[in-house]
Amino acid sequence: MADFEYLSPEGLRSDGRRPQELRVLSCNISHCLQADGSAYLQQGNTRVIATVYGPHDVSRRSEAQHDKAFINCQFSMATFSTSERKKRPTGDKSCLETSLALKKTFEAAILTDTYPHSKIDIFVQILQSDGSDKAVSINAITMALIDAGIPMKDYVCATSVTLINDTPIVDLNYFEERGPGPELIVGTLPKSGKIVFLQVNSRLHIDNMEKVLKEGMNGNQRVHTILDTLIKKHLEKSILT
Amino acid sequence: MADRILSDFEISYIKQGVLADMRSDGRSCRDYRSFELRSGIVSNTSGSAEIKLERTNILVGVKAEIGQPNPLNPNKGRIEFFVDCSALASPKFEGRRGEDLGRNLAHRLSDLYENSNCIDLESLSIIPGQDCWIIYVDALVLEYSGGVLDCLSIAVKGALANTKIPKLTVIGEGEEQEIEISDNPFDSTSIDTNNVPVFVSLSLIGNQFIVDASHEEEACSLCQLSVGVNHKGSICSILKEGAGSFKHRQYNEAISLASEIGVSVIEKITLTNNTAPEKML
Amino acid sequence: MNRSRASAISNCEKEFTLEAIQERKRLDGRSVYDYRQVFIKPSPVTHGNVLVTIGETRVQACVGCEVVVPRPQRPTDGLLYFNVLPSPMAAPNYDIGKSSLTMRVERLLDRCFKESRSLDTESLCIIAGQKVWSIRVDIHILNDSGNITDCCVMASFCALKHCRRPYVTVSGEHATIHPVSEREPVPLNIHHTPICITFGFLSEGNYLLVDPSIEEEKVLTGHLYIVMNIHREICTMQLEGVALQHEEVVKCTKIAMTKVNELNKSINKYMGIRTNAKNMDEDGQSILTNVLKETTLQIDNIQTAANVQEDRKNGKDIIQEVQEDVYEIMYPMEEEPPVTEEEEPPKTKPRDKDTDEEEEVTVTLTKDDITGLTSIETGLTSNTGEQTSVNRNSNKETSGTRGRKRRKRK
Repeated sequence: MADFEYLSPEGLRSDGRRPQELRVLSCNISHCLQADGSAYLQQGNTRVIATVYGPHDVSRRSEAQHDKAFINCQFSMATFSTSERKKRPTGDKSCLETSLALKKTFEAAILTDTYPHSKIDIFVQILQSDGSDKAVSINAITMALIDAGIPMKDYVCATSVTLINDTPIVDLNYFEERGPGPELIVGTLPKSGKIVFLQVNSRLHIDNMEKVLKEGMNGNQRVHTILDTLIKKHLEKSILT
Repeated sequence: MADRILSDFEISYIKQGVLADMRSDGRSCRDYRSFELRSGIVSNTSGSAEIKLERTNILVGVKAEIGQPNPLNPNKGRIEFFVDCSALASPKFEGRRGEDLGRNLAHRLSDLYENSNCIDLESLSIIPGQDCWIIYVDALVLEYSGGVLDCLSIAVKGALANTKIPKLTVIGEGEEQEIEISDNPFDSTSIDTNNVPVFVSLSLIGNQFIVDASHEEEACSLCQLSVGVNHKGSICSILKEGAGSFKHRQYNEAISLASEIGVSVIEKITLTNNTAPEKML
Repeated sequence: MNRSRASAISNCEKEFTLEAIQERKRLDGRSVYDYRQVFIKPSPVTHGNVLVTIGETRVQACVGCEVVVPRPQRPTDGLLYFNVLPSPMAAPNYDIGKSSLTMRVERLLDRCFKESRSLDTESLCIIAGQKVWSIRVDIHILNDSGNITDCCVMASFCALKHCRRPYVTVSGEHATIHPVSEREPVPLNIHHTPICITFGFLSEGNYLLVDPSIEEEKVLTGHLYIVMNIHREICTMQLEGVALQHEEVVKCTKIAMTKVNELNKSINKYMGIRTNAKNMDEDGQSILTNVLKETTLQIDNIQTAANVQEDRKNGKDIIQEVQEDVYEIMYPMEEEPPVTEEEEPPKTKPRDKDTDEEEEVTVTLTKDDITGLTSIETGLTSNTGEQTSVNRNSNKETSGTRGRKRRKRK
């Protein structure tokens, strides 16, 4: 879109946010009572539900590992989530790739050696897609895992960043994601500052990499503060009731 | 249907409860549970609705797109149903394992809508033989705990009632016809869903039919009867599932019960549609 | 379908590899940042067919072009498909059909080439909305000895670079595709060279290696795939299975930059890509090289012709000499060291060439492998344990000695 202004001369984005400003984040923990852990997360207009089942028995012998739990992840998008109707909710290449990437991320974050010979199922569904699907999914899965009581090294917080007019822009919406700049999605363990999920799409010059990465990590720290507050509130509420 | 494993004691408890007309949650055999129906939740769609009935949660999104009509019915639009039993509902639906159940449910819905002629498909035609509106109804089963077919039909009715189809004008004549869609988002028509029926499921436990069975009750029922009922109480479709059998008298009672309940459920839905749409959270 | 598992690694092998890496040593003697030997062979016969080897890992990529109707949402864009086909002979756990490995590699290739606009899909358009080129890259994994990803990316790039599509002329709504006999095919429009560098991490990200071999891959906990081009741009990057500090990630990108430059040189060398376009013909081969090749051939031919002439005159003598020598080797009269035989021939033939030849002849008879001078295929191999064979090189000697009647021995 040639006329679309990603960053106005005053430094505001198309939806009125500042470059480092995140969208409004709201979360409903234990959204699905059937599952062991679940969370409904909404960041701007992107809505995601994540559920966790487990730890439970493995369904196939090949999945059993003697020293750690087997993590299984499935990422799917509802057919009505995107503006153009999606023919298949899951099973296409990009969904499979995202499922694999999320699985590897959480293998690094969950303390898998506490549950040998067992399996943890993580399912994510995008109800409405408005940019940063993967980042919001990671945040939702973190909340669902905490709700399920599965021990983790730390929260996994993720944001998406791009670079427009040499300004890093955090937490992208649909149009900014498809904009001219490169896209970087970074997921970190906030306390140690370690990166567990990193995906760069489109061309990012090596000189800009450090700047963009740093902004992403700052964004993650802010997400972490919000998620932590939400968890504590939820805990207070559930203790009182 | 996804199975729920029950012990013998639990089964006998449920059966005795039904005999005494006092089910495990205190309802009688004719009572329907209360459900929550919200519409207009997903903004990317032309219409949407979400139903929550105890632990069953279904989200329906409707998208209207322009496409080619069925060559056998060139003057009519199309409605296509798709049900996705997502893995969120149960690990048993992971990957492609939920596809069978989803296809089954979608098929039942499309049969119901076809047989009852509830929606005026001719009003969805734009240029006969060339272009028409195709209404894609996509249902997503988020939580599964019994009574799925009922909830599905209610949510679809709610979503269709909520659907806004943009108004358009046809310019030109003959082969050079072009379609112009109105830019104004408020300039739209809605679909008339007054005649749309809903499913009422009855489960046979012992010798008695019960309405709106919970997941545990479904697991110990011998057979299920799914009846499609419209707002006038007329029966649009009947489907029997399961290995059990029943006598003619029981069947008659069941059908009249389903008819009554169907009418009251539709009244509740109509009330919901008339109130302002609520957003989730 | 019996699918055998990847061979498991024993605990002691694992510990050994780990301890070796802690001491900055690898199983095959490389340093931590070294790549294995890279070899690229573009097919001399078919355009768009390239074999790439990194160490023992072999991948073959083939590119095919087809004219199709474009997607309705993108009427001016051509199509580009990557299809990774693992061959069951590549590794014991490979099966025909898609797996998570193939899917991961295909997605990475999509991101490298399509999303980073390495191959401009708009240049593949013939008539907007009606005809576009559909480029399909089939990647066959022939042997998996570690680091399949880098090999596949390199093979795809080389194949796309090597590919030639038919020349098309468009006039209004009508397009003509010229066969190869009419017009030379044109290369694809590639803007930049994405090269993938795989980093493997062990024990929670404390140790890293570049280009893991198959034994090392079994002990790795995480990977970082960085695809960069020589303009210092990261086309795509993917981290999985390990938690890293951000300084480590930045360090890896810097290492990747140097590696990319090295690999780019290898690619240029094997693909015959010169920076000076004037010296290139359409195959990207240096014209100079071609000329050199031709000249060498001509020289050989001249030599052969000259030899034939000479041999006709002196052939009998030569043959006799040769036969004598050979006979003596086969049936030694005395126990003399083979070296003495060398002295015999110089008796005869004043002519330079002949003496040269004779000398050469004897030399070939007595020594094992020689500088490519031929010898006689008389099947003399066994006796002395030395030679006679045959480095059949040019047509020099053989043409002179073949098909001649053998003289009787003295």
